[in-house]
Amino acid sequence: MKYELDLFGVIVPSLLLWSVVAYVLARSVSRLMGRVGLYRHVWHPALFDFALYVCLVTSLVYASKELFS
Amino acid sequence: MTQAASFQDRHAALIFALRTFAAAMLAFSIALLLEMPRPYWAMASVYITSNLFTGATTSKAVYRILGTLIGAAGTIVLVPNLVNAPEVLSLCIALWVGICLYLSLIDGTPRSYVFMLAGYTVALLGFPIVSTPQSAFDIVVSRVQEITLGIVCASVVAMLVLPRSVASAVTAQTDAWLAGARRLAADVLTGRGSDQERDSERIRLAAAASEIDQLGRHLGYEAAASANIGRGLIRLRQHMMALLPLLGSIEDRKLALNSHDEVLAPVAAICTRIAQWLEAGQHGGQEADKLRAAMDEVRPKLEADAGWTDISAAGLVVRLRNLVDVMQDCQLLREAIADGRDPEQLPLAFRPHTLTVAVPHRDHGPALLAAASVALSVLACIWFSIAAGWPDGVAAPLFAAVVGSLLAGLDDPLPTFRNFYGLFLAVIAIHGIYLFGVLPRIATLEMLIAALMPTFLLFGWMTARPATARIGSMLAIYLSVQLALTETYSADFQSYANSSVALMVGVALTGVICGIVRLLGAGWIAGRLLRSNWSTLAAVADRKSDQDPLALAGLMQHRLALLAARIAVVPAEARNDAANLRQLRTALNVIGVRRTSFGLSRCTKAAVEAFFARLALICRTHTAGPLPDGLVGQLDSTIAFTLREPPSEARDQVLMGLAGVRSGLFPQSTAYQPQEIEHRTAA
Repeated sequence: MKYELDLFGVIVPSLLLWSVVAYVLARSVSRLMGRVGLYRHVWHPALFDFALYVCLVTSLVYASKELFS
Repeated sequence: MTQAASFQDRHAALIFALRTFAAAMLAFSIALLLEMPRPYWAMASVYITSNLFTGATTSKAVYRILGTLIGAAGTIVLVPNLVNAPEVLSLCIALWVGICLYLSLIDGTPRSYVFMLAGYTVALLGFPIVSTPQSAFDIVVSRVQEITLGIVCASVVAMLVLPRSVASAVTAQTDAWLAGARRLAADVLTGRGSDQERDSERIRLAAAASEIDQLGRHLGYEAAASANIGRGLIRLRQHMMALLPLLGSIEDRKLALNSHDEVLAPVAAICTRIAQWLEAGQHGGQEADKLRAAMDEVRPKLEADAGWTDISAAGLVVRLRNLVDVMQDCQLLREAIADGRDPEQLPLAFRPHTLTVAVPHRDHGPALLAAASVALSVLACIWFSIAAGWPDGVAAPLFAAVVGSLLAGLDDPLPTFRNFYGLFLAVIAIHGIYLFGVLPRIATLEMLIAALMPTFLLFGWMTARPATARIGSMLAIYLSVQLALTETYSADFQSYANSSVALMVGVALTGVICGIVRLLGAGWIAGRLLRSNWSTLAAVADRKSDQDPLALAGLMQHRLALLAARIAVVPAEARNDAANLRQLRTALNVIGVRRTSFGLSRCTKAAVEAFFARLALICRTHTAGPLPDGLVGQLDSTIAFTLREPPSEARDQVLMGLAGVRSGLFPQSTAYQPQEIEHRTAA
């Protein structure tokens, strides 16, 4: 995994990039779920969204480790 | 004079924006002149304290200085002692923020600002000095100096430049309120409009009265307001508090009489006369006296064989008389306030012994939950910056504490947080434009002021308009903190990126955690409010609570004002009960009956107390909907018992009180039938 990215001369951790990507993904997944109506089966929507986001970040970080190492 | 006043009212937002910007720049320049290390704090604290009304700025300034001092003391105690144990330190700061926020939410008055500031000042001062604890004292002292300078500048400028006094604002709002109450009274008396319209007007009036209360608390800090005006406004507020329950009980008693035309006709004629008197607006004393004389003629005598219609008509006439008295008192008080006379010299018909009015409703559950969610957010931000090994991330818990505290008062903060993400992106963008586009070309202070002017004038203008007030003040405060203007220009992309990311992380984590912890939103809080009214009534019927009618009226009308903000989630059946203040009126009747029942025989008193005990038992578990039918039966037999007492003033009072309980709690049930009850009690 590439731990750091060069952003206009500043070294930022790649986690920042993945967290932004995961946020966009999580938003689109939850919007899709809302349209299909899956949220009726969810007890706590806010907790579910957060868990979804954590899952996405984690899988992105692990996937990038596999792909770019 | 009137020309100037209207100009000032029309351009209040613009004047406010200009004045606040001038104060901010004054504070910033003085801070530069005195070579304070972080002059931008003076500028930011001007925007934090500014308010549309002069008195409000002065009182806010006193509160803010107090809060800052408490917070600074807390920082000096906590940080240097615990700096070697970061986990304990962060736990302590999070707990401190949470406890202070809880106190501020429970207090609910403008004074709550002291607690809120004491809370987030520790986060504001403590987190940046964690890395340099040896200079903690110097840094805290200079920060307190900068903040105090900003507060003083804001107060001085607000007092000197075109001030708007709180007293005049309170008087104007009170006039509008009284006009609304007169309209509602005329509608009730003549039966105009639908039930829903009258209910929503009642709810609106209760909410407006609560706003007047909040504004009125700033009065004591305004030097221009004389003691007479303050006392007059308190007396007027007491009368306003009596008006809403009075109107509700007049409406219910009229409803109970609707099918009895022979009794209603003379009373209805008087109602129309009162309505005309109210709508004319000129509250002449002679007309009121004539009305009172006419009512004394109409009021039926309650003989031993008096029926339900007689009792109800007598009760209605007494309430109408109270209405005329209260309305005339209001007019007298209003004139006394305009002339600055002492209200204690007026011949008032209704004069409670105390000068206290507002007894606020306090709900510990939601306050605790909101405070806990902010404390957890602060902890999560610290944990995040430690786990990510990001030393500049200490700004994230700082922003979490401030944003969380400012939004903790909302029932459901999630939608606001969603709006705020965009708002903070805007702050970051404007910050970037200033930092890399504008500031490098600026050499002097005058040029800097000219460059900042358009943005901050816009934000100030937004702050002055109710619709955008929160957004405007957030933008102004955060931009002035993020810009971090100092004596020399030092643009550095690294610190810009760090502070921007910390801002976003802090806000986002706070939003996520508030969403998770505060699962129960406005519906839950509204349900608690509705239940608390019933349990207060149960406590009154059980003699377990305060029996001061004025305190009860204040408490329950404050609850109605709190419900008004959440009216969309209140079920329809509970809405009518709440708007008509049924529980309050029943509680007042219960107190009235108890006070006058001393002259009655022992067995009647026992019957009355037995009814109250059963009422208390049922109310303790009641939430909404109609009360059980057995209760009406017991009330009717109690009324029949009381009717057999020898005629006296006490008996009439108790009868009218019981009739009030009946028409208030059971407006839909069938009319009282004296013969049947006589039969049943005889059998």
